[in-house]
Amino acid sequence: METLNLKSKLVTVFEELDTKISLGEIGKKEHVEFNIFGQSALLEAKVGFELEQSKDIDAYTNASNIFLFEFNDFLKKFQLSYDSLSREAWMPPETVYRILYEGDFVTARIADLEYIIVSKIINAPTKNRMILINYLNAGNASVLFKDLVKKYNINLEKVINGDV
Amino acid sequence: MNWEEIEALARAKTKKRDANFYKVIGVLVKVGLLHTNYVTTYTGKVSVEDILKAGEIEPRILEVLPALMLNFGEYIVPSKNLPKDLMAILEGERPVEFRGLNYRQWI
Repeated sequence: METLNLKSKLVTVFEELDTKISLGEIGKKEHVEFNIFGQSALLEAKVGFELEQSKDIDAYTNASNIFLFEFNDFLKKFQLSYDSLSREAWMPPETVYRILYEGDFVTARIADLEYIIVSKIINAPTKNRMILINYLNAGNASVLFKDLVKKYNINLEKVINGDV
Repeated sequence: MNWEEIEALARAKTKKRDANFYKVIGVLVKVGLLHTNYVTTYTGKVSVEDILKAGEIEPRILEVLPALMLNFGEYIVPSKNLPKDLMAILEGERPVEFRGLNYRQWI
């Protein structure tokens, strides 16, 4: 049985990274930011349905490779890993990210639910079809979600039917 | 379709998760290939048939199936009748995708 939820694990990782930077143990002291999205961010949202995710943590970040190496090392303790292809993933440009951890040298934010769902069904509709179905079944479809569906011209009927 | 029709369609397409589904998830969580937002505790063996069936509900299960079989075979009920595409991977072939999913990052 897991003893910590994902949010606690991520906060622990960011705290450790922050400490290591503040002690000057990772080269120069500079402020790094992480905007987390993808399934890991979804897992922390109050979705109201069951979710599974792989080890990957998706995040946009300004951290250089030396910081990402340390970040990944901390993640490994929790059987997680940073997806180095994160920067290639598309998120709606207007995505709202909320603070998850704020330290002296590390700021981590997590994307709001609706933006993640929309990015998932645009980026990989087949793989995320059941997430959309469960999201709708949970009665979560907010005004924001409906506005995003309209804005990005998403054909929900096709996604739900697997015709994409 | 209006929103009521969309929600009705989603209800109709829902797939029920049974006890075998949760056993599969339990094993995948146990070996660290998946994480969940709910608690699973199963640590016995699961059959490939049940894993494939669970993968119809959650594609991420299929994504990590080759990794499970290659690295954590002790959790799998032995079978002589594996699907050809899965057998090929176990025998060393590395196609780009397994059932349309990028599995290679997990093996």
